[in-house]
Amino acid sequence: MIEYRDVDKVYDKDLKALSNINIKIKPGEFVSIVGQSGTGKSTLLKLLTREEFPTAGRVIFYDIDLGELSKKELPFHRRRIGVIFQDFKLLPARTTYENVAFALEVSGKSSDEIKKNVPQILDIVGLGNKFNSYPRELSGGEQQRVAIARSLVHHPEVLIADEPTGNLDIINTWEIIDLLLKINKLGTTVVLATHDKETVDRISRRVIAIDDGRVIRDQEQGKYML
Amino acid sequence: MDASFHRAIKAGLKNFVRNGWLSIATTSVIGLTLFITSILLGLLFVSSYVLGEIQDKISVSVYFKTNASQEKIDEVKKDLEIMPEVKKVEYTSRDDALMMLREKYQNNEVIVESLREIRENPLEASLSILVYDPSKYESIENKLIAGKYKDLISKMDYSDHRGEIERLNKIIKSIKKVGFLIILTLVAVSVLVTFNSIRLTMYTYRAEVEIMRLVGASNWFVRLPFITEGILYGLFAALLVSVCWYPLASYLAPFFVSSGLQLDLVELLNQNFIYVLGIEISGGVLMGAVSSFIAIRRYLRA
Ligand SMILES: Nc1ncnc2c1ncn2[C@@H]1O[C@H](COP(=O)(O)OP(=O)(O)OP(=O)(O)O)[C@@H](O)[C@H]1O
Ligand SMILES: [Mg+2]
Repeated sequence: MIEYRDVDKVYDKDLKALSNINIKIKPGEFVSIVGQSGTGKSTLLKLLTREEFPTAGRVIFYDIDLGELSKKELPFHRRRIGVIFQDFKLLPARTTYENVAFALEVSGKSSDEIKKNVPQILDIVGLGNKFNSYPRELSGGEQQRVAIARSLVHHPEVLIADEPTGNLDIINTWEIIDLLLKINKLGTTVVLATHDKETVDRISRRVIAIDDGRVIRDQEQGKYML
Repeated sequence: MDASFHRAIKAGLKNFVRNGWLSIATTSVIGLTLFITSILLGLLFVSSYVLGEIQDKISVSVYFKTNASQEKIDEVKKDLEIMPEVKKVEYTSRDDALMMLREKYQNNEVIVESLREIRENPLEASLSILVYDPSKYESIENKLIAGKYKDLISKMDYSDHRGEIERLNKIIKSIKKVGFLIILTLVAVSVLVTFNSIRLTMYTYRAEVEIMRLVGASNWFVRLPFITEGILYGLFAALLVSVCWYPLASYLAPFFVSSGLQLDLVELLNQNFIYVLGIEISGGVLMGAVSSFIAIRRYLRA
């Protein structure tokens, strides 16, 4: 269970990025966060990965108050969350396989474990035949799949997707969204931030609309409405 | 954690090689610091050694009147030997003194002849006293002259090196003072240079570092490659400097010999090379590791 309790976030003195946010997300949900540019969607997600601290209120992640995470615990918290971005954030000098293996390497997994896990995950995201390609040799959709594979390799409880289709054409967008729905079906909670109306309308799952740092609507089976 | 340790070390090595000239420059600066530090420490060592040698040569000799009995002299000797500040007492009998005199002047006809002419040995028996701390001579002298033995004693005689000792002490003090400042400055400079090299590497790898943290790398995992890199700078610098000691020692050795010091620099280096190497390596590695540690701190916030 993820819970935002009375959360405010202020970056600069006058600029309130988030005000009085109260959201509960149950395990296994697929939630879309929608809203115009600069309304605070990314900020909302960064509170979950603990890249940012709330100015007021609390963010609870499976009974853990994220404000109380120690430096030591933070890496372990991050392994419980997969994250993907609009710009993929792949390492250009590494192949598909290496980019995914990297996530396991940094957490000290053995070579055997890596050899077993990485091909499995790459098969799930449909890149079974692109192990040795470098990011520049892949389409945007394929690059985002690599990023998804990397985010899943720790078997996270939650997948956070911040504008994952922002750089993709319509077909690739749909393939990625389908993949996210498939991952969700396998049990992973998905939190998707986007301002792509068509995407949200077609997913037809819970939608939380944000405007100017406030939740203005929260509907099951919602549509993109601002 | 074994696997990640291994990987981090490998990554550090790779950074070191990839940085090329930057690595060489950083290594040189650390090397220079180690070198000058060691020279100053070496100077300190040599001057302390010389001081010790000279102090060992200071002694005071007590001469006994020719009518002093052997028992009395033995008593004085024993009394002196139980004093804690006395290192050694050496007895020279009247006969020994005469023999030494003869030996010394065996080529001088006049003296040999006049010594033969005198029937009775005119020389006095003596005790040569060596103490641990040269400043203690005075009290011993006072004790002997003022004490119960004063009737036995004809005179006391210093082989004096006090001027030299004073000068050496001054040199040692100034090496300590100036050297400390130089060392401190140099260490600060090398830490800064190493710090900057590491920061430059980190800048190159900032995307990687960001992703590492994103996918849940522990702080130590992020740090280790860069600390390895810093340690490598220090390690290579230490090896470089240690190797340089041999030519330097053989170059300087003749000066030491010609100045009459019983100090074979090359031999000394041979005997202590493990320690020298150990000290250079610890110094270099410490500087490298500390600079990297500081350089990374910024990147590991949040
Ligand atoms: N690190 C930061 N420092 C200061 N202000 C920030 C920072 N990050 C975001 N902001 C500000 O906070 C507000 C919300 O930003 P946020 O990135 O959360 O919006 P968003 O909804 O994700 O926008 P977009 O759809 O364009 O990605 C914006 O006004 C932004 O300028
Ligand atoms: Mg955003």
